[in-house]
Amino acid sequence: MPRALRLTPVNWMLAIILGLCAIARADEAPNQDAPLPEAFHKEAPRTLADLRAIQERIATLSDKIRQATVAVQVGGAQGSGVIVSEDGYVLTAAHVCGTTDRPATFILPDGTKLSGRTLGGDRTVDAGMMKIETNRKLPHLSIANSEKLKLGDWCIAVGHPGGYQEGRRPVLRLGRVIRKQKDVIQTDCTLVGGDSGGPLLDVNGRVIGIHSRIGPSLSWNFHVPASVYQANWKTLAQVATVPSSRGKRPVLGVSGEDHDRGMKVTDLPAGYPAKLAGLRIGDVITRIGDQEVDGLSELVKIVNDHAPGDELRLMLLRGMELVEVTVELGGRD
Amino acid sequence: MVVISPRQIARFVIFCACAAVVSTAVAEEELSEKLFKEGQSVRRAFREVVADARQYTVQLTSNGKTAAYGLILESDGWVLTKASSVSGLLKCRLPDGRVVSGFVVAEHPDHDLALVKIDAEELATVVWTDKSPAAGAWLATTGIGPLPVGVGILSVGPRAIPRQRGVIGIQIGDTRKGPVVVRVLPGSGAEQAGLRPRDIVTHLNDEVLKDRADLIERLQQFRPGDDCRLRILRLEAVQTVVVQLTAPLGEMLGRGDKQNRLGGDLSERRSGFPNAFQHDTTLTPEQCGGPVVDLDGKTVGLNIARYGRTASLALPASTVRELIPQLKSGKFPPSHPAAPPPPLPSFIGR
Repeated sequence: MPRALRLTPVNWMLAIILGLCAIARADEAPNQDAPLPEAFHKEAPRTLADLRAIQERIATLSDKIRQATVAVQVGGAQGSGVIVSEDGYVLTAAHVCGTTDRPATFILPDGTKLSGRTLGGDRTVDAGMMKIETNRKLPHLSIANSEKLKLGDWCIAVGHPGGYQEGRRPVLRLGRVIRKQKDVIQTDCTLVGGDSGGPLLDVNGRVIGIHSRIGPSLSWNFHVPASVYQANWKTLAQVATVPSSRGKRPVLGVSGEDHDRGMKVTDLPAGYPAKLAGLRIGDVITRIGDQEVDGLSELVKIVNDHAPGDELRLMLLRGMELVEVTVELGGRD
Repeated sequence: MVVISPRQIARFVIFCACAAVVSTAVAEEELSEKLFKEGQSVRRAFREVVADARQYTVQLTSNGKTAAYGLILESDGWVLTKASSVSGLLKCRLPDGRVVSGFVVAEHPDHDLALVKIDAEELATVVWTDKSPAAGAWLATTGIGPLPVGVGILSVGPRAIPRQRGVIGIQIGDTRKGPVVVRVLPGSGAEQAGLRPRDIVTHLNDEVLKDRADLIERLQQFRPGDDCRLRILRLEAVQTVVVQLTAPLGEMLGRGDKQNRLGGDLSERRSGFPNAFQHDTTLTPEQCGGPVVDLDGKTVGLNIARYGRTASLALPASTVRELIPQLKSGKFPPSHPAAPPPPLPSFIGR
């Protein structure tokens, strides 16, 4: 049984406030809906025939929707994405692709790895886009008008929960739309780390949302509506220019040496991000984000995979203690 | 994946507290819980689907606490369930409401499957299917009531689920006398067993430990749920401590594992299965061990674990059926035999 959002007075208020927010109207894109079995229009399935109809529809969609779902690796971040054009535009979450114009790896369901780059992102709504660089024609899905979604609409989440696992195809989950706002859709398709950026599909196999975040309850699964991508396509599809750090390389500001637990800090030049963030000489950096740091060259590589302004979560061994420090990378010429 | 905290929501609400309250508008803005995919209204549609299977589903309690579901294999009182969930004094609630005693006869550690003998006869028995469910197929988990306790779809077909290593839950340092406990992590098996900082760990399962690296390496072989025996030196006195390993916890958790627990508990033994399929039903650990059926009402598997926030695992019917003769062979004794040991059933060695 899902432990759903309890309607405490606080949550009622939130629901009201969200309900009073005006929903901006986007252009009414015509949806070519194939006639759906009656089961999908009912408040809840009633009969065995209803259940079979739902099952059959998901079975026919399952291959197609998984084929266009990719695992995504950008620097130290892992997530999912969905291919929405033959030439490789990928919708994902902004917190997966991070800053613009960074190299990325995409893994297709059959294990093939392709490279590409991050494009634009909007962190306020967690929408991001990327592009696979390839000559091959890619399987892709079309995007639906998510504004037409109704509470209770059946939907399917696909992604790589827990991170990409070799030999495991993208993972399917079934659920229904629980709440729908301008900038977020909530469903009971359970999500977890690794799913971010993967697609939420309607029962026609079209993208209606992109997985973004979760909360303490099993029914708290939040997706960026597809309409956000359609409304902001031009900005998202561009490599954004960030004038202050254009052409600059990322810098952390440590000197160090290999240590069996990671990289031991031997110097912290004044004025640089590491010293300002509170690192100390003798600290051993063991991890950055989810990546283990084996030594100095590993650390340099991870830093270079990021951009000025990126926040890195460092795990340090200080004496016998494990300490976590967040550092914002600076830029240098 | 980003996580929203209730505090963030509370702050937002307080900021907007002057909004007008229109209570009728609220009802339309959120789907009613009973209509959720696993909500009661949807599960009601599965009443016919589980009608047969509930007649061979039992609920087991272990030392008075609800432990797991089980499925009735043979009518003269043979039940299959999740091995690591059951030990000690077992009680078994039958579909007709009677509660009888039981004890574990055999356990297959690789698959975490147990054969239990219960004190009952003339019971309905499991009806298996050879059909493997297709991706997206409905799966219903039976309990002791007329409706399934959970429903979901097949998320990933059968595959080997690699084992996750178990941890004791200590930060280990080095001394000349051997590895030393630097810190005991809260909620860990080490804390439960009474380990303290400055305890020097001299032996693991009666084998001398050279140093910290040696202890770390030897611990790799254990899984969550396993026990290990540690000999420790505390204030010059030698003690022996048995520690049960758990899944990684606290700050040893990657962020991913913390998120995995958002919304509910996971099974302690939830990895290291040679063959299991994955479905999106949100079962509690105590709801594992019994049948999971397809829309034809036939048992496609035995639920073996709540694996993560997004998944439960089940042993496929074909795998379970292959294991039955092995369980009956006498070669897989229970890990925690009931005391005093009961007489061996007559079929052992048949």
